[in-house]
Amino acid sequence: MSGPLRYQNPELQDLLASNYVMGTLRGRARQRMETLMQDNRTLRERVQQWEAKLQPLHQNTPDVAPRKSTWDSIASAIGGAADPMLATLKKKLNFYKYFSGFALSCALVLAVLVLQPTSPQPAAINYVAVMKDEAERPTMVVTLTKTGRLLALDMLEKPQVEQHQNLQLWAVSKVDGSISSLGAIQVEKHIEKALTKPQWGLIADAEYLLVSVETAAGVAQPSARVVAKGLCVKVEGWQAKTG
Amino acid sequence: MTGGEVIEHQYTEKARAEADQLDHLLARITLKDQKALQQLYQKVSGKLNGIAMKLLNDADLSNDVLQETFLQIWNNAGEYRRDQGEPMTWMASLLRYRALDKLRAENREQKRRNQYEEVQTLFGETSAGSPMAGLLQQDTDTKLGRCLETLDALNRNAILMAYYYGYSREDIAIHVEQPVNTVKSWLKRGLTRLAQCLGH
Repeated sequence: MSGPLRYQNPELQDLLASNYVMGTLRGRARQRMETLMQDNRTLRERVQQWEAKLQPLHQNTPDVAPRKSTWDSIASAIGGAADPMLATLKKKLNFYKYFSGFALSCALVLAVLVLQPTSPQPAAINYVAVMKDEAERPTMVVTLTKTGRLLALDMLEKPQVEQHQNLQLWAVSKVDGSISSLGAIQVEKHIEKALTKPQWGLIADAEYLLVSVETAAGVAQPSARVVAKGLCVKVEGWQAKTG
Repeated sequence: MTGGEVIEHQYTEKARAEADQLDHLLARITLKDQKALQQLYQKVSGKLNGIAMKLLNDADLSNDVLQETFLQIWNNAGEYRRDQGEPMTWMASLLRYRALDKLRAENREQKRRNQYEEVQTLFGETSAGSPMAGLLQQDTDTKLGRCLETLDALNRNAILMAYYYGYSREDIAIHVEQPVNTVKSWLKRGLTRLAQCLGH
């Protein structure tokens, strides 16, 4: 029986749907199921049926109050009111919006263009990640501008790094959770680097950005010492939404 | 109408009213009403975070997943259809799938095996002190609870470990010191009987 036909079998559909909802389909099998569901309405309905069947198990799951910072991050990402710290960051990012694209040369051009009402708009940022340390304090801000595939990273607080160590930036895929390197970064207050096309693809696919401390260059996976982590958010003007 | 039916009817009415409220908030969120998202968060974030904690057993990760889920709700509220499921089921499912992805992405499963003491006792000689005993006790008022009670204990516990605590088949096999295929059989048998009992 061919693949698509095989998935018309009600017993198989029910088995797949129940295992998907229960969480025992993992990794590639889970992804395959999600792809199948996109084109198979019956399969989607079976999944919904199992979700409804098992949901009552959570009826008595005790509530756990989330951290205050969780709502602040959500409010910030959707462009709503946030706490003063995030409001300050937002102002800072608004500054970046106009100045991170072409750095000093762009700033000089802008200074002239401001006087001309018909001047073109400067390149706007497309993604932003407010990176926090373990204590949930914002320590780095990464902005990404599609024009020139420019990555700008500002360190609000520099992490402690030994002489033989270096920092590396990573993108965590929202599709499959895979982690890919965006290269080493220097411990400086402001860094800019142009990304390659494949690296820009990683940004567009990223759920998170991470910065780790490494003792060797070119490692394939980040070490356990992650010093900053932040949701990579797609922004449109300042009406932000997830990427 | 019997006493039990009256209680069940009253419960259903209350649950429906709550679901209506959530449904209304989701409709407003579709129109990008930030206040509605905040109200929804106040209503359900504790429950959703509790579910994430059961699966991830880590406050950092559960808060991350909660945040991601609310951003997903903000972006995709328009995809929700009441005729396809209750609002809380939809939101909890979004959260559960994100939590399961997170378990894998963060490579937490191996680490967690040694952490979850309450699950360590799950397959013990007596279920009296087991968290599952409490869970089942609380859930006997629901059809699902009654159906779970009819299952063989091994089948039932395997289903609950997977669904409630996010254990993979391999994790369960390690806990019960049985081959993975045995666990697969338990799950398959348990789910088939559960579906029959629930009337699907």
